Amino acid sequence: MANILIRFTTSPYGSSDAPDGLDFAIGATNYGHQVSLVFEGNGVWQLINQSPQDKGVKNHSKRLKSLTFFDIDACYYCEEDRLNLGIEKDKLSGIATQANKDHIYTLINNSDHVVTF
Amino acid sequence: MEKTPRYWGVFVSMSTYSILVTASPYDHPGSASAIRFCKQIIHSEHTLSQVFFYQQGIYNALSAMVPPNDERNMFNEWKKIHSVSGASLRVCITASEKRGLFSSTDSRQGNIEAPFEQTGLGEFFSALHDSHRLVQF
Repeated sequence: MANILIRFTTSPYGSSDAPDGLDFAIGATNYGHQVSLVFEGNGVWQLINQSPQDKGVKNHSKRLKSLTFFDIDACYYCEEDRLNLGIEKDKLSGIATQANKDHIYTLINNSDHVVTF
Repeated sequence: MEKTPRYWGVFVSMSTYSILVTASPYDHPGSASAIRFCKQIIHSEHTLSQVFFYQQGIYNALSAMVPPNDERNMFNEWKKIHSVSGASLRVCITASEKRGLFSSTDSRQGNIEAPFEQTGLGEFFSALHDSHRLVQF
């Protein structure tokens, strides 16, 4: 078993990075790895509640809420990046807790593998 | 004065590597860096276990690529890495079929050829249990 830290750094719907990252995270826990997530930079936008209207686009907010069923409970967002983007704290999904840069460096150092989407 | 060897633990212990390629071959330096990194692993005491192609990285497995004669052919370079190291070249089946790449079956002619193999994330994560390091390009 490895501790895998997955960094989400892009907005939810501009590319397939966000859904691909989630597939990757769920795949990792399904095969016995321990997964933590961190939302950084534009990745913080993923934590805002959205409801995409286009057909064939999965609702990212709903998928994030389901992570706890896959034993992914360690979710963090970068507090400095939230402030830079001007996103209010109460707009963010409750699945992630705030972490400052130092905390994120510690998370990276304590992980066996780090993957960025 | 005797010099203390730097990074002693890193160089002395042998590691098994898994490589994750998420960059497409010619649009981003990631694939070229991954190839260079894999060659270095092969020529060191370390072991290359698998290369997993995910997202746009799956285009590395496109056997139909024909770059100009004086430019590198990523498909052939990966093929060579496989023949020297025996490492598995795994292409994510969901990411590749979404983009129109698939293996040959009895009923259809595919565009992904051996030594590349289409697998799911499951095979990659199962093999990752035996790797010390995962490096993403």
